Amino acid sequence: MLNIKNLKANVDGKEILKGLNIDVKPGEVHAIMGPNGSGKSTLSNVLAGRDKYEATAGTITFGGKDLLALEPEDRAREGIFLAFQYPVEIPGVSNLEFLKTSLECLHAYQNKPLLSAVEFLKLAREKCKLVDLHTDFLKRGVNEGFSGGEKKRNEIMQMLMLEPKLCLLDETDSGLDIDALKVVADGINTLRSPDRAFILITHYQRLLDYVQPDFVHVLSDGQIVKSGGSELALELEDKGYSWLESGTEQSANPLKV
Amino acid sequence: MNNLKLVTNDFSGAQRSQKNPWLQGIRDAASERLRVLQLPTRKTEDWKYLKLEKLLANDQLDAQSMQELDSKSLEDIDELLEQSFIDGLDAYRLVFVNGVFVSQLSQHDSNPYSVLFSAASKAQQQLIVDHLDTSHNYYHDYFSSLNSAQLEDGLLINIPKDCVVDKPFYIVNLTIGEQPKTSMMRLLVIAETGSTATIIEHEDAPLKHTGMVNTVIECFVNDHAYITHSRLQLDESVTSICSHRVRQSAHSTYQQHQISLASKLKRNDLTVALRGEYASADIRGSFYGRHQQSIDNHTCMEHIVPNCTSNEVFRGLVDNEANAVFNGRIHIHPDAQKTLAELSNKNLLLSDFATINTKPELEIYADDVRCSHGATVGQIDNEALFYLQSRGIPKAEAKRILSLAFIAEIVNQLTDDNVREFVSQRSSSLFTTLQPEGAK
Repeated sequence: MLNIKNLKANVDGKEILKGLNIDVKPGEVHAIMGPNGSGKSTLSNVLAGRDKYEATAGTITFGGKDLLALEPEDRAREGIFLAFQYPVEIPGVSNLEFLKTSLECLHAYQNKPLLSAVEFLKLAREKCKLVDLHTDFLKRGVNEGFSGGEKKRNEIMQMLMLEPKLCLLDETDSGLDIDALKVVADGINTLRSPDRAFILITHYQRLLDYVQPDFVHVLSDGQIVKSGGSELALELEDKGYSWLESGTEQSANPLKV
Repeated sequence: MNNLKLVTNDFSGAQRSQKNPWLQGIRDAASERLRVLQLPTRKTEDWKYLKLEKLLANDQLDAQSMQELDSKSLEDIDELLEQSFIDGLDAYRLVFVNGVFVSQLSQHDSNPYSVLFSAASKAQQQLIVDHLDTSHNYYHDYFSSLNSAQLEDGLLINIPKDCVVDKPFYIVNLTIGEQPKTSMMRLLVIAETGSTATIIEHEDAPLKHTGMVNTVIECFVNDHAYITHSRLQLDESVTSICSHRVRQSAHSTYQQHQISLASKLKRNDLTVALRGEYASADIRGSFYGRHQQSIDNHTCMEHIVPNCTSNEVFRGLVDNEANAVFNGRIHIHPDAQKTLAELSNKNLLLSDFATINTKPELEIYADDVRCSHGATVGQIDNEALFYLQSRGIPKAEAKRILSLAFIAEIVNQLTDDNVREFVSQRSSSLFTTLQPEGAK
């Protein structure tokens, strides 16, 4: 489904990703872990197509298409969803309008029938309930005045609405209390299916207690330095990242950072 | 420029109106002022950001060119006109075409509050003469004097003491006709003590005909009166100059919502004089300019007595090569202690070639007041743009959504649901005709 080969990427002229390889098949859940500054967020931003993140070498194919040639909106229409690390507040645009426009854009592209206003509203309310957001949130501005946890739950709510093929979650678990973390995990587990894949970018093991990954990759200095099964995450939790690469100075237990 | 001078010199003699002789005193006084007043130039501080000579060159400042539409041509466009009114609005509808009242299009049965100057009773005539041109007793500008000097008719809204008017006044002025023409609009609102009313003004050009409107509005808001005034300037093809003066007495409230589309030239001068203690003025406005349009909003809050409040918020959107000006002045006179005055103007530039000149001005002669002002000019937030794009919304559509969101704060405050819906739809459709860069 997603194939990344020897990806190199710059941010503001500085090389952050230095030859990254990853292969994601439908149904798989991949966790990408790594210390701060290892390139985790750069990877998610390059995949979503953010402006100042520039791929300088390598290829990314998604469903057989050259992802790097697509505009951000077309990547979304092809089925990629990025849950933002820092969702932006957009006053003046209600969540409801925003979701409706987004869903219409995706459905039109994917030749799916458009929902009626009533169907749409019913669906939106249902998904709100799943992530424990009051339906009043739908009328408010996008993320406007939301707490950190509410913003993250709103990202999951959008993911549930849009039903993407590939879900990228960029540190969605950071800054969440245990209840919100469970809500996020439930959202992911609800969507898990044989034709959908996930990439969970995270600093900690915490989320992986609730979402069992098929693969864990350790990213360090712009490259995957180690891959393994879910047991690798536990090992990282235990030993920190420093044993992987002597050059990086990391606390033994990243939870204490 | 030469043309213009000819026209304006001419009218004071030969083209002077003979209608409604009881208004002759008003016309004479204005003609007298015009002998001294000059057409503003770029050297006039209040007009320096507009190329007035150029913008006005093809428009006549002469009211005589206005003409009534005959009933045949009215019938032809009847359906179109019906569509251009705000849907579902239950109001006293008073329709003017090119500044001339059109009874067939109006719905104002059982409206005891408003009357045309030409139909005024003796007592009303006296009321009109006592109030016209007195709202602003130390300053007369060129264009409002021109309006007064050519005054033939106008609309008086007089709300009796303690009366709460059951529905809004909906005043529509349509510019229609192939030949560019100038129409004069004159509105006089006198809200007696304790009265409450809503006024919705709607300027439009349903056939996108060009023309010019020179409007003068005077509002007298007496003690404890409460006036809500919406001004919808949706005529992109019409040059418009409007002088709008409000005079407030003690404990009165004046609320204005202004939604303006720019045109070749659109100029609004709003002056609110707070002359009675505990009066409160709340002014909200948004403007949108595109192509080579110009829009200029000058506002002035005159705090003359203590304990008054004024709050002013303007939002501007400027695209393509349009030029917008906002000048917000707060003038706090020596006696006006305990004044609370706030002013905010935020602008969004949608193109590299658009211009906005914004200037908040505070002039404070009292020492115990609270004043704040702020003006910003920015661009569309790239983070927000990317967020929308990452949800499958094309860049052009995302820009449209964010532009509308910027003025939504003002539009959403329109108190009447039907008006708000009408404005939302109009502004939304306006943006769909845009083709911003990156559109597919």
